[in-house]
Amino acid sequence: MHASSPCLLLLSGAVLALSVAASATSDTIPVLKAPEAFHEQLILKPLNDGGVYSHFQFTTHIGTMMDDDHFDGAASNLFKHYNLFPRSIGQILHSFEVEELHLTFTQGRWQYSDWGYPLAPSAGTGVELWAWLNDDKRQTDEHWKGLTNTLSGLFCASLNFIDNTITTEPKLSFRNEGLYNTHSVPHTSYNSNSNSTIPRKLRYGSLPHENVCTENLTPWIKLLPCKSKAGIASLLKSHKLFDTRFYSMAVHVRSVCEDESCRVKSLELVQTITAVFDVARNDHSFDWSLSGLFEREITQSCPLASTSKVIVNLPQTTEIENQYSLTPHPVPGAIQTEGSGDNKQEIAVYDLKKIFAETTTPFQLSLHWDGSRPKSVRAITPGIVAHRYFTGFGQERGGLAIEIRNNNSQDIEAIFLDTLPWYLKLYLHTFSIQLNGKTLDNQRDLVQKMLYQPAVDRSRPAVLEMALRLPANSLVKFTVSFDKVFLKYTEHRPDANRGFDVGYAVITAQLPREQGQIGYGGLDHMRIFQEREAGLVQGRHGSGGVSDREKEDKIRVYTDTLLVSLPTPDFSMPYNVITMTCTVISLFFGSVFNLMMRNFEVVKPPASSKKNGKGKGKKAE
Amino acid sequence: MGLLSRLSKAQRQQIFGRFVLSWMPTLSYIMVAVSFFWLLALPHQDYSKRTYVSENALLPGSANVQFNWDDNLAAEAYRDTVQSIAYLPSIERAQALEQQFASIGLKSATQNYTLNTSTESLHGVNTYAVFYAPRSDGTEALVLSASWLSRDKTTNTNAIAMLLALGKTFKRGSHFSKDIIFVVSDGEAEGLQAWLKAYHGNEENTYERNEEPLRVRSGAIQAALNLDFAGTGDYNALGIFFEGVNGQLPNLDMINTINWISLGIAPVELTLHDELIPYTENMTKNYLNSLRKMLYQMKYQAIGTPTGNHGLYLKYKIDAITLYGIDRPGWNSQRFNLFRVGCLLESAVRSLNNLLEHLHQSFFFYLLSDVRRYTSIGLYMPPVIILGVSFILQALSLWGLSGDLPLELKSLAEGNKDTPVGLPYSRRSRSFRVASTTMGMAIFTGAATFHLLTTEFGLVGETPMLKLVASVGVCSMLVLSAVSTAHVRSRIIQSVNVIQKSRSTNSDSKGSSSNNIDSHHVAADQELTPAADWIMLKTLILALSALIVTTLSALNFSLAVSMGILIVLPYMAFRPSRWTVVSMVEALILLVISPPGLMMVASWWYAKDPSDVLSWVLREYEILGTWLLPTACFIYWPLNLAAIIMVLLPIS
Repeated sequence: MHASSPCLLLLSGAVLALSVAASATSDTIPVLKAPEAFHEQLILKPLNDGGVYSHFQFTTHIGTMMDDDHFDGAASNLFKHYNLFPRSIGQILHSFEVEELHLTFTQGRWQYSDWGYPLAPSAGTGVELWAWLNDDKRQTDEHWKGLTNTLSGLFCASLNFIDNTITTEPKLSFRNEGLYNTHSVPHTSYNSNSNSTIPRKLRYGSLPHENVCTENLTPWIKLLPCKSKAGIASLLKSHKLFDTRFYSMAVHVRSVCEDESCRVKSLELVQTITAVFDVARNDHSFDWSLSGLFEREITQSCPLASTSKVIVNLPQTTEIENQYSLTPHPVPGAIQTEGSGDNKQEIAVYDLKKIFAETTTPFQLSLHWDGSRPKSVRAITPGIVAHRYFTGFGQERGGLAIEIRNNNSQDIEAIFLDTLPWYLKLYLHTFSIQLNGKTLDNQRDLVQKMLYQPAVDRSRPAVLEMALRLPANSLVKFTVSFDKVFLKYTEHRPDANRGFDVGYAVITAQLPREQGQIGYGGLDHMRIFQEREAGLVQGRHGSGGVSDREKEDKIRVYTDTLLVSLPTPDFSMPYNVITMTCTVISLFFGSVFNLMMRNFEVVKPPASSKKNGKGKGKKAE
Repeated sequence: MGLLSRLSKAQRQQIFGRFVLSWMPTLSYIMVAVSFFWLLALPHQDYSKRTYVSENALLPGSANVQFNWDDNLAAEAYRDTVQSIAYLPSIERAQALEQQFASIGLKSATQNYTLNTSTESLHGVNTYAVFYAPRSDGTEALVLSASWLSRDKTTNTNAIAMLLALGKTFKRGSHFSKDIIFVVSDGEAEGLQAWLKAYHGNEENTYERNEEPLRVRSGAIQAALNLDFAGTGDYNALGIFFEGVNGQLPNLDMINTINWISLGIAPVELTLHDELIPYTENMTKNYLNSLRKMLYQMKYQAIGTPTGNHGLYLKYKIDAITLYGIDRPGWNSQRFNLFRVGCLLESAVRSLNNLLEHLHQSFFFYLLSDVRRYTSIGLYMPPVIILGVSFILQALSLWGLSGDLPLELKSLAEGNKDTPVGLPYSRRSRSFRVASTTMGMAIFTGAATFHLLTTEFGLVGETPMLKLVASVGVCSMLVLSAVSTAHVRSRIIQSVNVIQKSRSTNSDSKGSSSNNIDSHHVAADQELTPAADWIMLKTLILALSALIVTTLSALNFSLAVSMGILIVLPYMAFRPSRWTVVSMVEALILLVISPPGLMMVASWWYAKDPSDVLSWVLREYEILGTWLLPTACFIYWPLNLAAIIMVLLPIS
């Protein structure tokens, strides 16, 4: 009954799966906390190399909804009435039956070895789009096409170029991120799709060479309830944001549970902007202030926001204490501590709602180092670092090398996903694995599962997906050779001599939480602060089995994008000249040669011609 | 009516044959003369063109330069640092430099390498650092490199200080679209070679070569500038070196960019190589200067040695040039210091950073007669092709000579119209047995020499010179045996012929000719002894020379030209003579232009020990893979040996 209602298609899968669970533990009545809510958050962290990491996060919830017993009529209005939730996104989700949507625009490379892992889950250069689509009517491909084209229009980006030759369907990576998936519903039911009546399909595509600029930022800001007029979004000045070392903005949509048994669910829209400022660029001073970074200041919090916070991850110094001073000094109790020992991370929280309730002066924040430079800070060692590069030179053949370093002192399960365009002809028999510099004969220990989709010329890319078990403190290197295809001359792009961009590889891994990194676990972790404060979910973390998960974080490591130069004809003058000369010669040679060599003779009357054979010339005389 | 069809086939053949025999040798000599004069015309002002920036994306000199006096001070401070670490052991100074780069804020690392050639063992440590361009995707990179050792065999102090200072300057900018890699290589060429190999993932781990894999990487290298600023002082002029391994050249736009910048944003006097030539209005002097510059380029291209470390990049399809600071006290141009160099380099890097595609406009094949004048491939190829054709014509005329055409023409000239003339085939047998055997042996000897020279046997007192002497001995044995065998053989054939002739005259008198042709022709038939071996051999030599010269001209123009000029006259003109003295003189001349002979000439010219020259050639081959040794052993020497045998062969 609900499945037939289009407005519920999105979540009905979860609902049906849930009704089973609900009957088991339905003692508490789910409470509808808020039909719609908006939270804004700015997380700042000084980096060891003089950068400042800033992470804006805007979360909008809509349509809290219940199971069959406690069905709330408001939920049926999920995509009919919009207050805070952006209508443009809602309509897209509705019309293309999108269950989960992740769109990230990134410019620059995330320096894993210097900065640790980012709070935002995606850091691959270019544009990355992946979505779980409802395949109820078997229209996934049309919906995907519609989705890319609509988003392309919405965000002024070339997303419409994500066509069949780029789109893939990873089998192991990019699982659903909705909280119901990991917390409430048993794993098996979703992975096997046995309990769910609605089949869902994953579509993944990326454009490595897409530039990100203000024209993408403007529509992104428009999705916010307060735009950039008030709240922390007023800091978003494109002039400064695009003068950074790394810039990434994202839109994530997923459904989350609001209570332990997941009888109350909501649709969550998370918008993030991540930027790494290089404050030490000009004067080599590591000091920074909000107004210096953004050239703007926060004059008020967004009135529509339920919470509005600025959080500073305090630098973790070693040896020398009190190297820095933070102004204004956080109020007592506003400094929280995560972890302990080497993993200790102190966080200073500024609640803008409270601050602007007391004063009307703009919010100032600055960090000053003793002597303008830190003397000793704790070094960052990311658990997994990956590099991918091309080997060989020339335009005929090449090789691909992927190096994955596991810095953990324990084996790590990881999933490796690499998508290569069809014009690189991979030779799987050349696939070899080196462990710490030695070629590995028995690949089974390391590669536990390998899925390979061969490329089809001009229609789909090659996809290599592997479930790996990375030994502790090891360097694993994969190499594979390929041939470069000679493209048809119309298939070359206008800048033919630049080469073709090959997107990143993605490594998904569960990492133990450690080493003072910025963020963990992507979206799940991002909820930690706001949940604690807003009390949206009570006691969810207290339940058994979750605590184990808390110590581990699911992270995705992106490698750099690459440039491959294919055999390129000389499209300039000589090419034209050769083409034209060949045409002229072929046209004229035949006729001239014919004229020169043909034996023309006067045909005599038939009577006398009997004697002379026609073909015989003077030689016979 | 078809023009050619008006004549009967026989007549056509006659006329063609007559033309061949009467004109071809003359024609070929005329062509050689034309080719020589044409080559000489190449550097002329009216023949070459002015260079221009062809790639519009480069926009040289349009960006404001950020390199300021503070950076200059920094560069001078780095100069002192570099001086202080220059004499440390390789590993220590590499690590010290790595520290310096790291303190600027660049990702830096070192690379160990070992290279064992047949004569020596080289070991060193490279330092490299990567500036990650902010907000770039890192798919493209530019390289700035300097080796510890300058061209002048002194420490490349200023260049390395410049790299550090530029690293600091670039770190301030946020407008780079490509990463910039700084490489300070150890040794002469082998350090950078090891780095480039490792960068492209081809590092080896064998006894001969061992290159450590790189820890820090960036994207595809689009262009590179190699710096050579020896010492710590100021400079008079900036020299551009551009010839790569085996005569490969970078895109001309690299030179044009520097040229443009040196005229505007960072004014310095620019020249090709390290030669400073005063400006003159004198036509003749101008021409001679241009000729000298062009010959300088052609010399380096022909021997295949790069004129600087930039030459190693070209193999990897990376356009690169070396900028060399010329310090010539007393030269009247404004001297410039590191500040000017910094501005020039920054502007050049900014310009290359503008590139949207790999350099592909402009020219890859050119001869430079001046830093601002070039001769393109379309203008310089004709003379060498003409040279190749002259070989072919000569070979064809010899081929015709060895046939029976003279006889036919004679009978035609007598006006004997009734005799059926013009058989479509030659009745005179051409035996290639001797020619091909000789050539095969010569090539085999050449190949054996090559392997002898490049293999280390581990014997006591084993030197390249000794090996060369041994192979020369083998070659002379080959020549002697071939010549003596041929002489003996020709004697035997002659005596057999005499017997045959007497027999055939006997049979002729009996009138029992089998072919039922008239007696005149039978007699003529009998006169046609097989063509002399030397004619066959010479035809083969000339044909092969034509093939090699023309083929090589597409790969390495200068090598083809120098080879062609060297061999064209001797190979075409020399033939066995009735007088032994003439033959001996010819053989002697050929000996002088043989590889060992040329080596002796070179060692005399440069006042070096011949063994030094030889080990230099070997070293260049083993380290850089130049073609000089293989070309000499597999192509040039076999032809030369065959030619020596040819002039010593019996005349009939």
